[in-house]
Amino acid sequence: MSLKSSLLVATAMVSYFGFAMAQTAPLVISPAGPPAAREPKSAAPAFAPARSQPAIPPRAEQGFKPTRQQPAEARGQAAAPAQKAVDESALNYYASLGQTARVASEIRRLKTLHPTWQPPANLFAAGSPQVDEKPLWDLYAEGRFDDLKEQIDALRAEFPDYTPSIDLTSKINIAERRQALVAASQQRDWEQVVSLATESQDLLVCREIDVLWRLAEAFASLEDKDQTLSVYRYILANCENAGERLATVQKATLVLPEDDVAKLIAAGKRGRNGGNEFDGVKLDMVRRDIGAIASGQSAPTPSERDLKLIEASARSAKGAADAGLLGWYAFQAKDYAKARDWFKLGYGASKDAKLLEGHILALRNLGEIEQARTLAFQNLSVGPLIRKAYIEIAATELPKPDAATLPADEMRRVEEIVDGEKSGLGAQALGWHLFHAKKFGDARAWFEKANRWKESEESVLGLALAMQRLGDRKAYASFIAENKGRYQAVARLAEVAVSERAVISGSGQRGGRRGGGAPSGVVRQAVKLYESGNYKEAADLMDRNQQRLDPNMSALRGWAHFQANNYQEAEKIFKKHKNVKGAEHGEFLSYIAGKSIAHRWYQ
Amino acid sequence: MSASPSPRRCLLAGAALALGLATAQTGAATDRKPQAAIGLAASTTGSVTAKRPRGAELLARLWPSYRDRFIRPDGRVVDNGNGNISHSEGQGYAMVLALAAHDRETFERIWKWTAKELGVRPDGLHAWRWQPDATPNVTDQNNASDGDLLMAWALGEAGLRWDEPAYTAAMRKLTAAIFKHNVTGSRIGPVLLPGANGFRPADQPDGPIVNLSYWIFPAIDRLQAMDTTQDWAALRRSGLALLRESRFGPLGLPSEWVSIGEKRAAFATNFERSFGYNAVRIPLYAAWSPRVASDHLRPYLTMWNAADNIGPFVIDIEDGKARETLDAPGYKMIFALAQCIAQNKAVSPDLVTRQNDLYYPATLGLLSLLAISERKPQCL
Repeated sequence: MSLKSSLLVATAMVSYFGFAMAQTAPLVISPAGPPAAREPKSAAPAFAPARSQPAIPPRAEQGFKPTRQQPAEARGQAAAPAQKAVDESALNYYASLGQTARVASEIRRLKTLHPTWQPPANLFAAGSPQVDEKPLWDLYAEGRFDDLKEQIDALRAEFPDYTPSIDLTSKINIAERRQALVAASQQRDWEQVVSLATESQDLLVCREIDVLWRLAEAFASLEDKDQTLSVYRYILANCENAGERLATVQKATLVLPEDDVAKLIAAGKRGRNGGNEFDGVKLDMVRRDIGAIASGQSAPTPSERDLKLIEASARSAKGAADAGLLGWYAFQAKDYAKARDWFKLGYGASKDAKLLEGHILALRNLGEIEQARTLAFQNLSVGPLIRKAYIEIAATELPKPDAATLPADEMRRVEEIVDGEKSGLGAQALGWHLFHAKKFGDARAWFEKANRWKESEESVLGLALAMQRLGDRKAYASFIAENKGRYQAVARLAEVAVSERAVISGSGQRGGRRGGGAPSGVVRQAVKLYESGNYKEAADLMDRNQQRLDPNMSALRGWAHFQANNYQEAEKIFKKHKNVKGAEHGEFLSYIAGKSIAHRWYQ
Repeated sequence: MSASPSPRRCLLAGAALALGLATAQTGAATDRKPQAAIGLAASTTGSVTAKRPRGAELLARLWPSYRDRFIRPDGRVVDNGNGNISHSEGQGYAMVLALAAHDRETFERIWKWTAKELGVRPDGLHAWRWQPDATPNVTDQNNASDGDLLMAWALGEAGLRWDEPAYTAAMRKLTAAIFKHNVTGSRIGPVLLPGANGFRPADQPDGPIVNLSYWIFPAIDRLQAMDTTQDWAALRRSGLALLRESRFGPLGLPSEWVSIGEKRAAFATNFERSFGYNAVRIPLYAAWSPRVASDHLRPYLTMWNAADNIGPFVIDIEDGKARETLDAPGYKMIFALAQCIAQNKAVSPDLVTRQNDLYYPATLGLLSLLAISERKPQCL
C-alpha cells in the first residue's frame, strides 16, 4: 500500500504533467554550419574526455584526481561503434559542447528515426568525479582552518580515495603553525613563540617576514639581545623587499640600544646618490630623542650634526613636523625666542593648530603678553587649542588687581569663549577680575560657573568672598560651613575675622613709621613712596635695607609687596614678623590674594 | 483554480524588503546561536546602487497571488495539478514560503491545518496524502520524509523568527521522529528513506530505496544549526555521496529512485527510470545549499538551453532520450538558479514573474527565487 502510494506520487505527476508535451517539444537541430563557433564554449563545464568503456551499469568510478582534467580533443572515435548507419555526428558535437538539452533531444530524434538504435554509453564520460578544491582554497584564504578541516573530512567521507593536494596540505600545515605562533605572540607568551619557531624552521624565511618580526620581538622581550639582533641581521642579509627592510630597522629601533641599531643601519644598502637606505631611520631616531627631550623625558642629547639635519628638514617644504619638534625642543630648553621662530615657520607651512599654540605660548613666555594675547585672539577660530591658550593668558592677566581693563568688545568675547568652552579657569579669572573691580554680583555669578565647571580652592574661595562682600550672610555662613572641611583657604577664612575694608583690594594696614635702625632717610623715603602709590619702588628700597628695618617697617615692607601684587613675598615677610600687629592678617590676605591669581601653569 | 484572486490584505509592505541571508556558513564556529533564516528582512533604506538585488522584492510581490491561488482559508495547500489533493510536501513548501514572505498569519493557518489533518500518525510524523473527496480524507497513512523535513525546517525558523518556543518544540519533536522512523543506516552512513513504510530491504528486492530529491540540503544546513541533537552532517554526507554515485546512463543523470545497493547506487528495480518531476528538485536543493560544492551542479547546467528554448526535458535515464518538456516557467527557474550559482548567469526577471498555473511549478519557481536571493541575489 505504502509503496504503491509512493509510486503513485511519481507516476501521477508524470502522467498529469506529461500529457502530450512530447509532441510540442522542438525537434530542431540548430541550422548546421560547421560545428564551429556557433555555441559559446566558454560556459561549458570542463568535462573529462570520453573513454571507451563497456557501459550500461554505470561506469566504474575512476576515483578522482585532485587536478582537473582537460577536455579531450578527439571525441570522434568514441561514437564509432554499433550502428554505423546512424549519423551521430551532431550528437557527438553537442556532447562535446556539454549541451545536455540538445543531446537529449538529438537522441530523441535519432530514436524516432532508428527505434533500435542505442546511443553510445557514457556520452559525456562524466569521468571520475573530481574534487574541486577551489572552495577549500577560499576557506584557506579566509583563514577559516576549522571549517576547512571539516570540509576536507566531509570530502574524505564522500570520496574515500580523496587526499587534498600536496600544495593545499602543506599550505594548511604552514598556516596552522603560523597561526599558533601569531596567537602566542599576541598573548605575549614569548617562550612559546620561540619554541614554535624552533620547530618551524620553514617559517623563518623572508616570505614569512611577519613571523621573523614576531620572533625578534619575542627574543627582545626575553631580553636576549644577541638573538634579537641576529634575527634582524638575517632579514637584512637575506630579504630584498625594501619596505620590509625599512620596517625591520624601524622595529629594531624600538627594542635595541642605539649602538646595535647603528650596526643594523650600517648594514643598509648604498643608494645611487650615496645615501644609505636607512638614513630615514637614523633621522627618525634623532627625532625621537628630540621629541623625548622636548616632552621632558631623558634621552641622549642629539649631536650638533644631527640637529643640523633636522633643521635642514624643518626648513624644507614638508618640514612642518620637524619645525614643531624643534620648537618644543627649544621651548623645553626655555629658549623661547628660538621656539617662537620654529613654531612660526612650522605653522606657516602646516597650519597645524598645535604649532600656533606653541607660537603663542613662546611669545607669552618671552614676556610678550600683549602680542601673545593678540595672536591668540586673532586666531580664536583656529580651534579649541587656541581658545584654551587665549583663556589661559587672559586668566593669568585678568585676576591681577591692577589688570588693565580690556576693550569692551574683547571682554565680551572673553566671556563668550569662557562660556563656550565651559572653562573653569576662565570663569574663575573673570570672577576675580570683576571682584577687584568691585562688581561682586557679577563676580559671584562667574565663581558659581567656575565651581560648576571645574571647582578649585581658588574658585570656592572667590565665591565665599563675593558672598561676603555682597552681605549675603546666610549663604556665606552655610557655604563656609560646607567647604571649610575641604579647602584650607576656606578654613582660614572661617577663622579670621575679616574686616570689610581689608580684603585684597583694600588699602591695607600700615605699619609704624619709626623705622628702627634704618637710616631715617630710608624710612622716610619708603613711606613717601608707599603713600604715593609707588609700591614697587617702596618695596625695592626696603628690600635693600631689610636688615636694618624695625618690625613695624618690616610690616610696611610686607604691605608694599602686597600692594605691588607680589603676594608670595608679602606672605613670606608677614610670616617672619608674626608678632607685629596686623602681620597675621597681612599674611592671610597675601595668602588669599595669591589664590586669586590663577596658577601660572607654565611656570 | 479560478483566475480571480480575492483582493486580500497584502501583509507585506511594498518594495523595501530583502531576503535575509539564510543558509550561509552554518558551520562557522563563531556564532553558536542560530538566527532565523529563510526570509525577508527590511533592507536598509537608501543606497540605491546601479544593480540592486531585487529577488526579495519579487518574492514579496509574488507571494500574495500564490497564497490566494493555492492556499485555502483553512490553511490547506491545494495541488491543483493532482485532483486538488493536498500533501505534506505542499504544506511544508508553503510554510517555508510564508515564512520567507513574513506572513505569520498564513504560516499559522497552514501549520494548524497540517497538524490537525495530517498529524494523524502516532509516531509524530505526518500522513502524506489528503483527498478532499474521500472519507476519511487521509487516504494514505504513510509519511513522506521530505514533507516532514520541510515542516521541521520551517518550524525551526519560525521559532527563531517569532521567538515562539512552541514552534521550536514542534520542530524538535518532528526531527526526532524523522531520525527515528525515516533514517536508517547504510554502507554510506545514515540515509533518508522516502517514507516510514515500504522502502526498506524487507520491502524491496533491492532496498533500501531512496529518492535523492528528498535530501533538502538547505533544510539540513539550517537544522544542523537549530537542532544539534541529530547527526545532520552525516545525513548531508550520505546525500552528497549518493549524488556522486548516481550518474547513470549516457547523460550521467540521477534517476528519481535509487537503490543504495551493496557497493554502488543503481536504478531502483520497481521504479521508473527517469529524470523527471521528482528529480528536478535535486539541482534546486544542491544549488540552494552553500555546503554543496558547485560541481554537483554540472550535470544540470545545460539541461535548459534558454537561448534556443530547448529543454528542460523529462529524460529517460537509460538511453538519454528527451521526453516531454518541463514547460512551465517554474521548472526553468531551477535551471536558471543552477546556472546562476555555478556560472554567475543572470536570471531574467521575466522568467521569475511569468505565471505558473499549476501548484507544483509555481512552488518550485518561488523556491528557486528564494534560493537565488539567499545565495546570489546579484543574478537578478
